[in-house]
Amino acid sequence: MPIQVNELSKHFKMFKREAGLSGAFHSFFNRKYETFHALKDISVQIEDGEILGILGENGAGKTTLIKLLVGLLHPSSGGVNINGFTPWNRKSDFLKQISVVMGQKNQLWWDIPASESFLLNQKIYEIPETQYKNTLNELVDLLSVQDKLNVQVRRLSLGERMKMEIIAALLHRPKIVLLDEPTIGLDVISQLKIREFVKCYNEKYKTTFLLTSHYMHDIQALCKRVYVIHKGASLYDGDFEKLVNRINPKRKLIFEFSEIPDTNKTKILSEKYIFNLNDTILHAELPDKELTNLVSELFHLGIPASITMEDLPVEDTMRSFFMAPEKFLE
Amino acid sequence: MVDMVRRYFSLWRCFFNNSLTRDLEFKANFLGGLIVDIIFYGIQFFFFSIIYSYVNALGDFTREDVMIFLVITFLADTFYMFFFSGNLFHLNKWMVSGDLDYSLLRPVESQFMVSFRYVKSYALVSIVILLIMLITLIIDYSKPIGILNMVTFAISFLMGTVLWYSVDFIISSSCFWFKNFSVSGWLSHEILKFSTRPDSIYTGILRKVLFSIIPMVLIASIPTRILLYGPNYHYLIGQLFMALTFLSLTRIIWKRGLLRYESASS
Amino acid sequence: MNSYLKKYFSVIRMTWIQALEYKANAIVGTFAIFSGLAIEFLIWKQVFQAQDLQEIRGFTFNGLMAYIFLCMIVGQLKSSWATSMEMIDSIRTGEMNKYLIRPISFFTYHFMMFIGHNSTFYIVYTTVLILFPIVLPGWAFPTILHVIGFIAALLISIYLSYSIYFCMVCFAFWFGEVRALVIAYNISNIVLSGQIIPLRLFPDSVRNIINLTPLQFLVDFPVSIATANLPINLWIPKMGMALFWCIIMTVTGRVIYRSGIRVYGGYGA
Repeated sequence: MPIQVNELSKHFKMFKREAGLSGAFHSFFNRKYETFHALKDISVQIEDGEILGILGENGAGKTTLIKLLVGLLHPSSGGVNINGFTPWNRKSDFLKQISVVMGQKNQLWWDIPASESFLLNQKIYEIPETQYKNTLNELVDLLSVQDKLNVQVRRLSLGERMKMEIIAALLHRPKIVLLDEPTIGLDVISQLKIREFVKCYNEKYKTTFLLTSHYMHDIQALCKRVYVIHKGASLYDGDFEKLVNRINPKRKLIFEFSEIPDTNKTKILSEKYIFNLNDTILHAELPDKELTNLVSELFHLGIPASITMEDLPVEDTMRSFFMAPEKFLE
Repeated sequence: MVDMVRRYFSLWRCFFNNSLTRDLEFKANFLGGLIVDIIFYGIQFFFFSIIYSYVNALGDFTREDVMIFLVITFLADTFYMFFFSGNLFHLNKWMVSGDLDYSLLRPVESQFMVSFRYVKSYALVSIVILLIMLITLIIDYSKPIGILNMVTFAISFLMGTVLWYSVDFIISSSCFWFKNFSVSGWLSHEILKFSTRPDSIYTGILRKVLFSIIPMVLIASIPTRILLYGPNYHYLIGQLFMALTFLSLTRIIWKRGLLRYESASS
Repeated sequence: MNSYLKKYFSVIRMTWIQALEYKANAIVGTFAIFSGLAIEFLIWKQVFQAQDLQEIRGFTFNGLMAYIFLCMIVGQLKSSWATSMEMIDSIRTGEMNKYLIRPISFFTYHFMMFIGHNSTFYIVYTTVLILFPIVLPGWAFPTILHVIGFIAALLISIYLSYSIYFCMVCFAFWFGEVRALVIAYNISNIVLSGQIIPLRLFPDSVRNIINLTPLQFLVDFPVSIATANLPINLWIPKMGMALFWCIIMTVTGRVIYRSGIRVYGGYGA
């Protein structure tokens, strides 16, 4: 189901309240409203089987975009076409093909076992018995939660609960799945498990995933392409690695000599490159090309005991990006 | 059409099973709910017994009639609780917290979802007790009450429930317009109070209002009259007309409300 | 103002701002009073007319209406029902850990919350009560002394009512879900404290039992003072009784709370 978004805009009327007690009194009698532009002219196309990461700071408009895509909101202008459906008409046939997982909300009942909620979903989505059984077994196996099915949801750990939420969301084999912060609050291992699962499921069923996450590792591991929203407007649409490289093209090098190198030679080298030398260990953070040149010159200085090259942490990179996004995109 | 009815019925059964599974987890709820109900009934009986210690009849309603009327108001209340109170009462909360989203994302009529999703299964115990009380009172009534009375009463009672559902639904849905309308449950409760007193006390404009715009007397008073004084087709047709009108009104308001719905941001 | 009071005053102020934001509360509260009054008016009108009565146990029709009207107002002012539900929830879900780790008392904090919640009512009903003797002179508040007596009794009633609710809320430490208990109490006290029918119209046997409980001080006492149904020489002894009950309920609440906090599991968190 290809998704086509055309010049989508959404604004809200917001109740403006003056601060303090006198402000409360004042607005008790006379309310003022102001318009807030949550989304401005968003256009994007998403192909079948893609995993698209939607990035943006809090309040950038990610959730508004997702809500428009699943038809929870009516846009102020513009349109969305998902395989011929307009989401906000909320046709049954459309709703049966999508699913939403929100990390901060749960659709499962707190006080009953997850399996009971799954049965309810079977009825709601009219899933035939055999298909239901097969899908459930498969998902339960993939996420290895066999022994947790009949435990009250409130007794599950956060990670297990999220796995159950995901099963509930995929039982009807949706073609499009929206994951809104699916790994929020989870420990590193659970995050990893969920990431692996999404990747594997996407490859097997060519399901389209739209993912928002504050964990850049989620995005890095899953999304080739990202769509960046900033203050309601589209900022970047394309390859994630390229974006990261554009923001911070530097890589990190740790070069360890087997013996202390000639100080004269290193001095000459330090005029060309920026690095740190501590006895036998050299640290440098440089753009890719310079780094390769540096390495080849270092070989002339002595035999390395070890060489490590790594990317700078993506979290830091994106943080500096959102502090001043315009700077990187010109 | 038949398929749809069957589908929605089986959905409701699933809601019921879900709710029962949960309620059985907290056995105290059954006991607690029952005790609250019994105290509530007792207090209402006490109220009327004081009133009737100073008077022989309120309009047509004698002491004996009022006892039956009271049981019918309890039955209407408990019946309503069983089906709807776990849902409509929370509509505002769901809206503010954004939990309503999940109901709207289902390929099921959303009004059905928000009206029937949670069943207060423990109200069943009270319903059974009340039915036994009602039957005992009918048998002991000074005049014989025929089958026709009982059948038309049942119909009238159901239409009363539909009406009360519709009024409460309209009040609850106003949270779409008022943003945070946390007092809707309280407002409904205060309006429902009019149904818990025999219609003979209402006079003048108030009486007309309670028969039309806020049809509270159609919930318990009219069914009681039909049960005790025989079927009155004038009332029955009026009730049917009102029930249909109000039910269609809920559809319109729900659809309008959804258009306005701006789900709480994350 | 010392810092101790300031802390709690800021709680009131917070809830106050919140309450003002939703005028609906005040509107529905007023509607509740007037619709309730309308129903009572119609029922008692029928009673008086049907039997052609001039008075029932010393109440003229007008006197009865004034009494019931004031009862409804006092009833709403003293009801900490909503706050109690919040307290139960916070014990049940472990939310109350928040208070335990802060230098703030659970009892006092929620008392202030309750005052704050009701603040819109205070504004509306103070206006109503000031207008009342002006619009309907002679129905209530015959002298300024009655006004003072009423206010004193009302303050006692608000505190007493809250401390009774508090005792019940504390059972949540042992049983978790005690809403049913609070709801049951709430329903019964509406009638048994004389909020709908004056205690004086109750059968004597029931009245004798109620007089052994603090229920008589919740609504009937302040309203009887306001409507001059209670001889002035009985005010002081009755006030003493009411204060005595306040002490009993406060101490009981403390004891239950202290032992409850020991079994408290700190669930959730």
